[in-house]
Amino acid sequence: VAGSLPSELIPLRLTTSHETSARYADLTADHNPIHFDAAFAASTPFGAPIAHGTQSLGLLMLCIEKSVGVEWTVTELQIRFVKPVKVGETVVAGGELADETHRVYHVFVDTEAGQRAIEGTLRLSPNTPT
Amino acid sequence: MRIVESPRAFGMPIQKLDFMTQAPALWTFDDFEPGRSFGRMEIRLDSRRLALWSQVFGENVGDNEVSSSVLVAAMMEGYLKLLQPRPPGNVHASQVLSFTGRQVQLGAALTASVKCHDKYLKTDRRWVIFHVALAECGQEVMSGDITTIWAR
Repeated sequence: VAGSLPSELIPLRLTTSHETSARYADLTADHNPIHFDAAFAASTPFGAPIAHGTQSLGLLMLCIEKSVGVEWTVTELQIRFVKPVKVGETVVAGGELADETHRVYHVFVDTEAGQRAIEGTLRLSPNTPT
Repeated sequence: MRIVESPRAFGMPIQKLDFMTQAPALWTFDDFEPGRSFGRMEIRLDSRRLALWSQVFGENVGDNEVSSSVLVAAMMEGYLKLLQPRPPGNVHASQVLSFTGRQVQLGAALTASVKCHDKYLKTDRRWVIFHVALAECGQEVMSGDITTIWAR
């Protein structure tokens, strides 16, 4: 039986770097130069290499797992990528219980500088393993 | 330039081919139609993949079940590999994820599949929603809707 849900998700941090971008690129086959090539990135509106957006999303998934445990399943996670994260920045994933009855959280990933990178809504259901 | 498609086969993306050169041709907004499939491929959750994930997130992989964070990365690999070549400058705008609760073990072989869910023009931008699913032994593990602003 699934237990009660925490009012807040346990914040989880990740410091991005050229090394983590390179590893994540190998992991996902996403070798877009916007993530690595400073000269190329300088010619874009971002001005500098940006971390893969789904790297922050992966951190958010870890944050959710660590916070609610295996008794709960992510029925639906809806997020939008609000602002790119520059390589070298530290991001923090977290969330707050918004509707206990319907098991809905407001979730986010912010940079330590206070910029919101990801924002969205999480809906959970008790896990029923198949 | 006339475009033909290569035959659909497991493990192979559905490619556009230039009729003259037979080289893969760029996927553009006009190619996408709701319901259109872009094939499927196998993604094995092997030790190399899990080591990379561990190096990125600084987390131990564990002994049994794989983190949903690993599955998100696998979903992205399926999406990126099955839709090639793509124009530079696409923007991943938003994402919906849904998990079935099925636990996936280390070493599992997943099948990734991609299809076009929707497309539309809005504020002079080309929006495309792709549906990506991961399954193990025919049972869905997770799915995701990737909303992109397609560059061309």
